[in-house]
Formats: sequence, C-alpha cells, structure tokens
Amino acid sequence: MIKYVTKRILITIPILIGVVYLIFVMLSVVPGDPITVMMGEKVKPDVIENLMERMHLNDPWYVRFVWYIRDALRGDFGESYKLHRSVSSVIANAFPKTLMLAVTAACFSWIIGIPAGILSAVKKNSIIDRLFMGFALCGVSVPAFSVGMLLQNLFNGILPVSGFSSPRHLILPAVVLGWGAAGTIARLTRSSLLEVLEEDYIRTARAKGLMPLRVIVTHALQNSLLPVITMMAIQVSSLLSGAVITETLFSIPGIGRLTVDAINTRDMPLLQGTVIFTTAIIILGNLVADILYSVVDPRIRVEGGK
Amino acid sequence: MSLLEIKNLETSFFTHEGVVRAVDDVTILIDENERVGIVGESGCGKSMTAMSLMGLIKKPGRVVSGSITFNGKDMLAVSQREKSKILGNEISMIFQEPMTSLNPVITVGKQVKEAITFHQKDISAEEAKRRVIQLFEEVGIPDAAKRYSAYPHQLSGGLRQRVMIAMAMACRPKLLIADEPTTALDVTIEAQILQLMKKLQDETGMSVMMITHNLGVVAQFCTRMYVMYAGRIMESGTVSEVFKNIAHPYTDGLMRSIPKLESRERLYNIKGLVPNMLDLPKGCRFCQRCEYSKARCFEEEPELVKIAPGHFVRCFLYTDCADQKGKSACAENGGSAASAPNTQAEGGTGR
Repeated sequence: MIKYVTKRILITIPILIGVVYLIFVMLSVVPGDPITVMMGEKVKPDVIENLMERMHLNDPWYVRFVWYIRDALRGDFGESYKLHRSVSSVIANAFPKTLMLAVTAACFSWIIGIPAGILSAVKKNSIIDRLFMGFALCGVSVPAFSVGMLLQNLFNGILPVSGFSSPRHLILPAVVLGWGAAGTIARLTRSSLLEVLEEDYIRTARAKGLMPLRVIVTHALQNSLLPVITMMAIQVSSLLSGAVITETLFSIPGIGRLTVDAINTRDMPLLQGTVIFTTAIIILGNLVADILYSVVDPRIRVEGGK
Repeated sequence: MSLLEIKNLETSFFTHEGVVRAVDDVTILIDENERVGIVGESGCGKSMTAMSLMGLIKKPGRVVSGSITFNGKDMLAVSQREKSKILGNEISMIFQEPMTSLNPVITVGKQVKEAITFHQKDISAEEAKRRVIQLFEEVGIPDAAKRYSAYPHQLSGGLRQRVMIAMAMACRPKLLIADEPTTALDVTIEAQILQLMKKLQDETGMSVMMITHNLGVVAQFCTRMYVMYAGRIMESGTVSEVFKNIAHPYTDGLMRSIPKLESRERLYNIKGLVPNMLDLPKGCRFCQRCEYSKARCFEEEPELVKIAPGHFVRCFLYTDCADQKGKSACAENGGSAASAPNTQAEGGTGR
C-alpha cells in the first residue's frame, strides 16, 4: 500500500515539470511586450532596456525556463506586472476563497447527488427516479451563468447575490456549482449501482437471505461508488482550480477570477502562476482519487504493491 | 412428505418479443438426505427452476403458477422476512461462476461470516470467526486461518468455489442447491469438489439438488435424476434405472455425446439447437432434433408416463408403443411400456 502511494506520488513529479515546461513555452510565444503591459506606452528606452535586463527578458526562453524552475522551487513565481506583488502571495490570498466555495459546493453536491442516485437506482423507473434524473439532467446541461443569473434574480433581497464577506454569500454560488456536480454524481451513482446490482455476487448475497436494503448497503454500495469516487476527486480539483464563470458572476475574488483578470491584463507571470497552480491541484486531485480508489478496492492495492 | 415439493411450476419471462416459458409445468420432489440431479443443455430451465425456488427470478420474469413447498412452508407465499430466514439457513445455493460470485471488495472470511451472523444473532464475532475458519478447514482450504482475510481475487477458481461451499454450508442447510458447481473448474478440481460435496452430504444428511449438464457428474453423485429440455421434464427416475434403460431419445443423445476413451469413432452430437423459447414446436419440444420423430410428434405433446417403477418419460415411443419403428427401446422396455401404456404420470414423482 505504502509502496503504491509512493510510486503514485513520484510519478507526479515529471508530470508537473512537463506541464510547467509546456505552459512556459506557450506563454513565451504569445505576442506582446511585458514592459508595455507593466509601464504603459510612454516609457523611456533606457528604462525599458534596464527592465529587460533586470527581468532576464533578453535571454532566450530556455535560459529563462531554467531560471524560472530554479525560482519556482524556492516558491518564487515572479512578480505580477499589474499588481506589483509576488505571484505566490496573490494566489495565496485568492485561494482560501476558492477553497471555501469549492468545499461548500462539493459537500452540497455529495449530500444531494449520492442519495439521489441511490434512490433512483433502487426505485428504477419510478416517479422519484424520473424526478431526480430530470433535475440531474438540468444540473448537468444548463450552463452555470444562466442558473447563476436566475438564482440571483429569484433570491435578490433574500440572500446576498454578490461579493464575499460572510458565509451567507457562499450559498448561491455553491448551489450553482453544486447543482451541476450533483447532477453528474447522481447520474453516475445510479448507473453504477444498477450495473452492480446485476452482478453475480449480489445474487450470492440475496441467496444468503439478506434483506434487499442490507444487500445494497453492505454489498452493492462500496462497489458502485468506485467510479463515483474518481468523479468526485476530479470535480473537487476542478472546483478548486477556480470556477471562472461563477466567481466572476458572483464577484468572488478567487483563483478563477484571478486567472481571467490575468488574461485580460496580459499579466504573464500571474497567468503562469495561476495555470501552474491549477495544474498542480488537478494532479493532486487525481492522486487523491487513485489513493482513495486503492483504499476502497483491494484488487488495485495488490497490483500496485507488487 | 418430501423435503422439497415443486409442483407444476411455471416461470415465464414477459419480454417485448413475447412470453418465454423458461420453466413449464415442472414437478420435482426431493426427499431428505437425497441427492437429485437436474440435467439438461444450457437454457433448458434448470437454473430457472432453482432460482424460482430461491425467489431470485428477476424482472421481467416471474413465477406464474404452480407451488413450491419446502419443509411444509409455501415458498411462494411466505413473507420477505420469513423467506430471508430460510434462505442461506435452511436452503443454500452454490453458483456456477466461482470467479464472480464473491464480492470483490470484502474478504472471503467476512462474506462467509455474514452468512452465520445474519442467521444466528446470538453468536459472538469471535465465535463466528472461529466457525468460519473451521468451515474453511472442512472444505479443504489450506491455511484456513490465513485465508480468512484474503480477498476473492487472491484465490484460485477452485478455492473460491470451496469458499462458496463453505458459505453454503455455514448454517448446516437442509437443502443445498448446486448450480453447475464444477462447470467452470478443471476436471481434477471438479473431482475434488464433487468428492467434498459428497463427504459433506454424508456427514450432515442434507439433501442436494445438483444442477448440471454433465451426465458424468450425475452418475458419480446423484441417486435420482430429472432430465429437462426446453423448460420441461423429459425423463426422470433413479440414476441406476435411467442409466440402465435409457428411455427418452434426448437422454440417449446426451449419453452418446459423452466422449469415450476406447472409442475411435467420431463423437456423436445431437443435431440442431435447443428451440427458440419464443417459438416452440407445436408438438413434442424435442421433435425437430429427434431421430425417432413421427408425424404425431409434430402435432401433439406427449404426457409424462411411467415405464418402470420409478422411471418416467415424456415420449410417444412409450405412450403408444404400437406405432413406433426402429427404436429398440420399446423392445427393451417393452414389458413395462406395454403394460403401462398411456399411464398418466403421477406428476413425475419418479422414485
């Protein structure tokens, strides 16, 4: 088990370096002059020259990449052109907001999604099933901005619809984000549970005399939640990397909005920082999914431990 | 009264294409301490008969008519709660697929223990665990204590089937249903498993319903047998009687399809396929594949008749011996068939 986890962690290192490399190269070839972005149009040539020298902008991109990696290992991702603060501190400032939103939305989606999926599978083709799956389909297919604006209109005056200063501010954006996630989870739980209920070992459990509810709880659920766990981890990591539209719509200064701002203002170091941070979160999410998977499914544990 | 009485059972599947009568007017009786074989090709309704008894028929299938009485209890009428007390406790079942019949995420020990603790509430966890290890030893699992915490994927097919047997034996059932327990296993393992089941049966005095397509298994293991074809019982009787005087052309075909070591001839096979259950022949269900079929076989379905004490067969060769040609069976069984022509079967209670 420990061997398996260590192996999985070690694999993430080359992935992370590869991703940083790709992002670096991509953003290096994007046209645009950082000095103009930082200082505006009217800057003296010697100032430009001075800055170019100081920021190693005259060096070829591969030299700069090595510098960047060296600094990044120390936790220094450069300085934001626009905000004139270190990228790491800007991200560290924005992340807690995204984290709170993501955790709330994820909890909301699990609490709603998993029971709804189970109930739909158990009462397959009943009115409950159809109702839940209808809601789930809406959650999956209606875009966040329309749900968001709809809720803002509906709950205007009842709940805060913008900003981020109290837990109450979290409710609407968490519902917007969580509904979509809950829809996916409910549908996946349902189909996975229905599939598992057809398995031979469920027949064995029934032949033991176990009551239907007990068969589902002790024999079907753990098996059916395997794909759901993967989906949950992927969803959480994507929520943590910032819900661009929802954060913008509800004016939440999180990672998502930071990334959009960085793109709009051509703030390359900040953009690089947020994208790398996002990637790291997603890699971490997948790692957690894999580890959880091996906890739930003994077959993977053994294969990985070999 | 028998331990198990399945009478005129009909189990049908209501599909979009039509109604499939998987089990059609089947009567099977099993006494205490008896080993009964149900033989037939795939899809002839053997497993469905057992599943009907266990209440494991899934939609769109259901038991349409007939009765199943176990130990005096009407299994089709008992409540869910009552049935859950019987299944796994008084009746237990071993399945054909040892590879997939165990839950992959629970240790085999716990899965067997569950069968004990569910039915015997007063037993302590340690006591139950000790019983499981003891059961593992009984069914010949080496390193029983160590295997307790093994997951199914860590065991071979033979060991998994032994775990299934241990699970089935956990509450010392009165009736064990074994649905092709050795089909997925090697021949050597098959022999071991059969031996084990025989030993356990001897020790406990339980009854066994052995479902198989292998007449060899029946010959080795059973005392009485039923031959099923396309949802119907075609022949029944004690194993010694049926093997001595094979009556039905289908049983005969099955028997001749067994490879023989000394024979250099091409292996016999029954021509054709099991009929489509949605479109059964009007007359005898075996008529299209039967070497002895006559015009009448395509028009009417024969009844199950007694041709010897404890030997019943569903074939016109015996109901109406006069117009049969070629088949020596009539001559062989002439006495009994002639003496009891058209004898209405007593529900096929061959014994």
